[in-house]
Amino acid sequence: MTGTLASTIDTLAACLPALGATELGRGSGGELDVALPVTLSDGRCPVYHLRVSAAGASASASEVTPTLLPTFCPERHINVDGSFCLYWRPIDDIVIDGPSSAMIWWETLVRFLQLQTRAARRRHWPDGHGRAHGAAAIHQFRAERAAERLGDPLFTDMRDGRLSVVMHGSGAEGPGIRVLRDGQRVFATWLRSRRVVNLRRPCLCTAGQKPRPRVIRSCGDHAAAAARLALELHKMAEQERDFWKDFEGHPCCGTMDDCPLAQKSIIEATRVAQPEAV
Amino acid sequence: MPKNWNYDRAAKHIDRKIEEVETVSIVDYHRDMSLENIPGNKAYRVDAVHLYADILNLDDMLHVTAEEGVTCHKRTLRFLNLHYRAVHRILSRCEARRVDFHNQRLHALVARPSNTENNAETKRIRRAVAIAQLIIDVLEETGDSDEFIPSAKVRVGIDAGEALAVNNGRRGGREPLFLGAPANHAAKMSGGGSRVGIYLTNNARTVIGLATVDKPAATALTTAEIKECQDEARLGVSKDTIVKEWREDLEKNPIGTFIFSRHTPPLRTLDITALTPSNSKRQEAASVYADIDGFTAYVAKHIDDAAEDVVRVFHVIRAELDRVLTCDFDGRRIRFIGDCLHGLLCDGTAHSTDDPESVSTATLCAGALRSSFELALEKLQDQGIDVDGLGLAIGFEFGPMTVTRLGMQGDRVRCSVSRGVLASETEQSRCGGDETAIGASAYDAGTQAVRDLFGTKRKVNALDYNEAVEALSQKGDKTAALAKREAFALVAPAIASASDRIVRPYTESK
Repeated sequence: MTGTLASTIDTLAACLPALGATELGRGSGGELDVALPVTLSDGRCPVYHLRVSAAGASASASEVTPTLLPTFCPERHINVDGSFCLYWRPIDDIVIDGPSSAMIWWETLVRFLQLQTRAARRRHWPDGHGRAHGAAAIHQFRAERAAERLGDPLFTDMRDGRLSVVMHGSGAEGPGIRVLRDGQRVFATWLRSRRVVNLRRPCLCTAGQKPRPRVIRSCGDHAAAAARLALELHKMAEQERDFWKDFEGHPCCGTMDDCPLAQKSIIEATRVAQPEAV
Repeated sequence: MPKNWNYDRAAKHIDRKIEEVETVSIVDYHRDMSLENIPGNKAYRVDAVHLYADILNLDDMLHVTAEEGVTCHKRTLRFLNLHYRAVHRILSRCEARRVDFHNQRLHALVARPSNTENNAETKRIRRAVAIAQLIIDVLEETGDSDEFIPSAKVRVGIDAGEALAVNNGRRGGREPLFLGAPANHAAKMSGGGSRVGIYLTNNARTVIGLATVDKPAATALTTAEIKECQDEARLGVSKDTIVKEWREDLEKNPIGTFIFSRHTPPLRTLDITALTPSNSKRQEAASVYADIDGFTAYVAKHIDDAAEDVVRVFHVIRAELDRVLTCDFDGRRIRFIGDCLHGLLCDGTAHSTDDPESVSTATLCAGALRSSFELALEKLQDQGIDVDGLGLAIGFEFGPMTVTRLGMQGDRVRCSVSRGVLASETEQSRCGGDETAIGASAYDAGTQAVRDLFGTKRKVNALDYNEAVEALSQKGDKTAALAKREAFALVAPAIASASDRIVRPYTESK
C-alpha cells in the first residue's frame, strides 16, 4: 500500500464499520467526513462529526463544525487550525500503510475523544500522558528518559506530571535548579556546572531509601541522570513559556482551569476595563 | 458481579419517576389526616413546631475503648437503646410525634393544638419547650452505671412554621418527612454547638414573646423562660413518672444483649426489618452520605408558588439515588435523613470484608450518585422545573459498621452507628455541592489509585461515574477495571480496544 491521499483516506474509510461509524461523504479535497460514535465508560455515546484529511501516509482530524469541542485550545491539544494533535510526530507518528495501522490511528482518535469528555468535566487534561507543548516536548522526552534511568519514585512522578522546577540562589556555582514534587523540594542541580547539589546525598532511586542508603555519587549513573532530569525540566519550562508567549492575544475557550491563555485574557479584560489615568 | 452505572439505565428510571409525579397535589394538613402512608404524589402543608434533640456524648461512647471493637459498639447501642425508649415514652405521653431517630439525633413534631385554637402557635412552641426540658431531665437519669452507660447530655433546637410533609418511606416504610425551613433551622439549632440546653430560632422566640438575639444557637433559654413554658404547657406528666415507667418497662422487657453477626455481602440483601439487638449486624464496610446541597433554600424559594415542583424534585432525585446505591452497587440504604441518603456498601465474603475493593466500590458509587443526580436535574429541567442552586455533597468512610434496630418492641427504629458512620457524615458536611470527600480510614484502606484520585486533601470535585472509572482503572484499580470492561463488553471491539489505549496528544507551535 502506498501513502497517496486517496489510498490513505480509503484505508481509513475501510475501518469505519468496525467502529460503528458512518461515512457522511467526501470533501472537495478528498477529505473523509464521518459520524463517529464514541462510547464512554458510563454508557453515554456522543457522536462526533469529523473531517479526516490526509497528507501522504499521515492523517489528521477535526470537527466539521466545532460543536462538542473548542475551536482552539492548546491545553486540550486542539491546534490553532482546529485539528486534533493526536500525537507528536517525531516519536509517536502513525504511518497509515495498511488496515492495522489505520485501525491504530482510529483507536488513538477515539481515545483522544474519550479523554476530551474527561477534560471538559475536570477542567484539566485527565491523565499525565499528554506531551508538552511545542518545542517543550523534546525536553520532556529527554527528562522522561532521565527519570526512567532513575526508576521509581521519580519515574512515576514524571509520568504523572507531578514534577516542576524553580530557580534559586546565586552562589559560586551560579543559580541552582530546584526540582519539586507537588511543590515540595526533592533535589537541586547547579545550572552552570550541571551537577547535583550535594553528591553525598542519598540516591533518588529506591536504593537511597533503604536503612543504609546508597549515596547518589556512587549509585550507577544516577548522579548524571538526576542532573539531566533537572536541566531538561528547566528547559521544558522555558519552552513552555515561549509557547504561550507565541499565542498571546488568542481568545481562550474558557474550558480549562489554570490555562495561561485564560490568565492573559483576564489581564487583557482588566486592562480594557480600567479607566485611563488622568 | 461487577457493579456499575449506566446512562441509559439511569435515564429510564428517572423518566419513570418523573411520570409518577406528573400530577402532584398539595393540601393543607388538618388533625383528622394521617401522616402515615402519604402517597408519593401528594404533600401536606403542615404548620407545626419542629424539635431536634441531639445527644452530645455519643462520640464519647464510641471512644470508650481505644479500638473500635465489639465492646465499644455494644455499649454505644445499649446507650442509644436506653435513651430511645425513654424518649419514646415522653413523646407518646405528650402527644408529640416522633419523625425520626437518626443515631444521636431525634426529630419530633408538635402539631397540637391546631390552628383552630387561639394562639395555637404560641401554645405549640411552649409545649415543645416543656417537652424538650422533660427530655433533658429524663435522659439525665436513664444511664446504666452497671453497664458503664452514662446519662445522655442533650441539646435541643426548636423552630416553628410551615413545612411540607411527604412520604419518607420506600418499599414498606411509612413515616413522613418534612421539607422546609422549620425542620432545617431546628436541626441547625441543635447541631450548632456543644452546650446542653434549649435553643430557639429568633422566629420561635418572637412568637412566644422573647427578644430576638444575635446568635440564637449560642443563646439557650434561661431557667425562668423554660419554667414559664412548662407552667403554660401543663404537660401533665413529670420526669419522675416517666423514669419510673421506664424502669418498670425495662424490668418487664429487658434489653437483650447485643449479639453481632456478619451479613454475607452484598448488603443489598440485608433485611433490616428482621434485626433486633440479639440479631444485630457488624462488619467492616463503607458508609456513604449523599446530601442534596441547597435544598433548604430551594424549598424556601418555591414552597409558596411551586410547592408541587419541590415534591417532584425531591421524589425523583431521592428515588434515583436510592436505585444507584441499591441496584447498581448492591448497597443497603439505612435511611433518608431529609434530603440526605445514608447507605452502606461492602465487598467480600461471609468471613471477611475486602477492604480495598469496598473502598473502590464506594468511590465508583459516589461517582455514580453524582452522574445520576446531574442527569435527574437535566431531565427535570427539560420538564420546565427550576433546579437552580442544587448540588450533591458526598462523603464516605470505611470501618467497622453496625446495623440493628432499637427502641420499643413493635416500634423499633433502624440504627447504624459507628465511628465510621459519624466520620462519613463529617466528610459530607465539609463538601460543597460539587465535591466528594473520603475519610482518613477509607483513604488508608483504598488502593493507590483511590489515594491518587482524592489527593492529600481527600477531596475531589466534579467526580462523576465516568471520571471515577477512568481515573481508577488507569492507575490499575481492579474493581474499576472490571467495571470498565463490563461497560465496553457490548460495544464494537475496536472502541473497547481504544478505551485501553494510552495516547500522548501534543500541541503544535504556531
